[in-house]
Amino acid sequence: MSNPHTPPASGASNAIAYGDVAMTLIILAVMVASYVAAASFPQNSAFFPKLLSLAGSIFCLVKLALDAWAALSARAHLLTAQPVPAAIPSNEDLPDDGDEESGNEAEYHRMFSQMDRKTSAVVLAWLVLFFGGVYLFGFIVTFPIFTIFYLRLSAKASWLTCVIYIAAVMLIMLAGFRYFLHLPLPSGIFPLISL
Amino acid sequence: MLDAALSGLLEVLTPESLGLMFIGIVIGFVVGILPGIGGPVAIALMLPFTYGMEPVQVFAFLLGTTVVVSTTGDISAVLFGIPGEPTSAATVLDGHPLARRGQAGRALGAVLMSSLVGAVIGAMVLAAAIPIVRPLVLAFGPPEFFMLTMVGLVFMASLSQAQLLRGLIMGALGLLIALIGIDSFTGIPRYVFGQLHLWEGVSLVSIVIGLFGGPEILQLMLTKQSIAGKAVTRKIDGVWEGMLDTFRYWKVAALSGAIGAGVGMIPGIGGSVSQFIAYGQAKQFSKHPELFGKGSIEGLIAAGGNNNAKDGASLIPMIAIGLPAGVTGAILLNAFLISGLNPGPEMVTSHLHVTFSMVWTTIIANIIVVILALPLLKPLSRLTFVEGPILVPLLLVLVVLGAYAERNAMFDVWIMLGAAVVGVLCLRWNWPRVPLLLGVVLGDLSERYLFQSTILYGWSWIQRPMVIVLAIVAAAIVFKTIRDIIGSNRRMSEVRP
Repeated sequence: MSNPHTPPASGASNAIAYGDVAMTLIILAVMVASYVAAASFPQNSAFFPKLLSLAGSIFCLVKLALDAWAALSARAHLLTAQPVPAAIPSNEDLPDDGDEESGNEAEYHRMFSQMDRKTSAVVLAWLVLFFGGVYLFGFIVTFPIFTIFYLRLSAKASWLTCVIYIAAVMLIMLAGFRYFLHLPLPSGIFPLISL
Repeated sequence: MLDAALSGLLEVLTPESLGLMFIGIVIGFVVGILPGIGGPVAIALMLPFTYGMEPVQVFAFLLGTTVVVSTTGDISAVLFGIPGEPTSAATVLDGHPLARRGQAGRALGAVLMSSLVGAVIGAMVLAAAIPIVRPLVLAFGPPEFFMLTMVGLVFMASLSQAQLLRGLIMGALGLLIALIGIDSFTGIPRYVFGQLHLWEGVSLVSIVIGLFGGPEILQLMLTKQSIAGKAVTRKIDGVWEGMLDTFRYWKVAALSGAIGAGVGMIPGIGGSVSQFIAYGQAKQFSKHPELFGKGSIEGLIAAGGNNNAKDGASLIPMIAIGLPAGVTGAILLNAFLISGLNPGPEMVTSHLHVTFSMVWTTIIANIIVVILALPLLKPLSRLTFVEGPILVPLLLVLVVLGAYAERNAMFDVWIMLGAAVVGVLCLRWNWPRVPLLLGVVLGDLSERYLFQSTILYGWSWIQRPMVIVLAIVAAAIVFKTIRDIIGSNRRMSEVRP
């Protein structure tokens, strides 16, 4: 449900509203595409997807309408109201109880909205290295190499810590997954080592 | 009946049965902590080892594994924010915030004790239900099951309070995601985009791990802090306090246990739904609903108590009419056949002692796991204070292998990554994740029940009394939520200058 009290003047708040609207539009597009795709299914297969995508589309449209109405109300309020020292956070667009000790979703919300591009790029690069490595060369090869680089560079861990860490995790994973549960580990499309 | 109960107890207490139960508990402990593996996979792999065992030993071994997985799945949910099991998803909502606040010991104590209370309630319900269960289970048909899934979804969306509309949108999206794959009625592939991997549908485990574990790992990588972050109160010694909390909020534990037992015995619904219903009722009746999702001890007790109660109760339809309540039940049904047992009347007559042995196994295994877990809680709790980057490689391994393990396909790892992106976007833009997850859980079931309802009754199923009652319940939930939102907005505008 839309919030009629989103402070329009704050840059951060505007960003939240734009992202929120963008997310609604993306989901609306998914719903419409699902409805169109369902048209090619046989009647029995199409009924439930059509019902869901129709309901989802209606929810999205109602939300967009309420968002638009809230934005207009906020603008009218801004034009008529006396200046206020600070915008009052809404009970919806900002998760409540965002105190530092609470450890709640507000902390994630704040962190993800404040992360800078450089840090994000570094984290993304680590993730691409890990998942790309597992995909290409498999778990057995990727994990030790990634762990050494990550722990040395990011956690400033000692060589000894790295070796013990890798040995312990590999032992648990190999014993638990491979030998105890008989589950294969990802071997990659260019498997250098396979167990 | 008392003779059978006593006989069942004595057979469970034999050294062979106890030994096998202990082995099952150890296996369940490890499997439960590792996210993504799941109880069904574990007992499926253990099934071949039951050939040649006596029926009571078979169930001591397999039930020992199963019931412990529910408890230990909660441990990784509390510590890492990654549910060890899909049925531990509700535990994350309040357990992990408590851990992040430095109260991991208290959270683990509460979840262990509430799990034990729930397990005892579930086992008692199983024992009490034995003579009356058959007509009860048969009273519900596909229309009622369909409405029950809808009530669960509406209930979950309403939990987001001010985000009701977002919750409903996410629920609809989750239901749509669940429809990806081959339609079991017509054999037509839907929304597969030419991908063979999608013919089997989207892996629920991958979605659970991605939605909840992905943002957690990203957060650790970005902030480089421990899971407990900058928590001022670094309590690791709050285990007993957490256990006492269960008795302080005994009504919450008992009611959520009763809900777990009630919903858990309904075939096809299971713990994934009942945990959220129990969580929702706890929030509705709590004096501090605003704390739910931010580290409410009541919410945690509701989730923990519910989780284990469903294990005992889910055996009821399987024992009574051979109808498994879920995947685990379906695998356990094979154990019946391997042991030479036939579900149905003989389980409440000539093999009544075996049925009671299941009741005792559920209780004893849960007591053992609490005793076993207690000395391990403090070392486990300390993991939340280890620096974030140290944990990152381990957590990456767990999410990759957890997603990969179900079908041995990298495709599921990509699904997990996609779910992680959705999880981060949800947190970034303040959209609820749980209705999406519940939609994915319920999608297939909902469609099946809707299809069966219309095939069997046309559209006249809408007029069935129980369907009407459930529809009224769903409408009342929406009405109450909208009323709360209006009231909240009015209060906000009153304090505004």
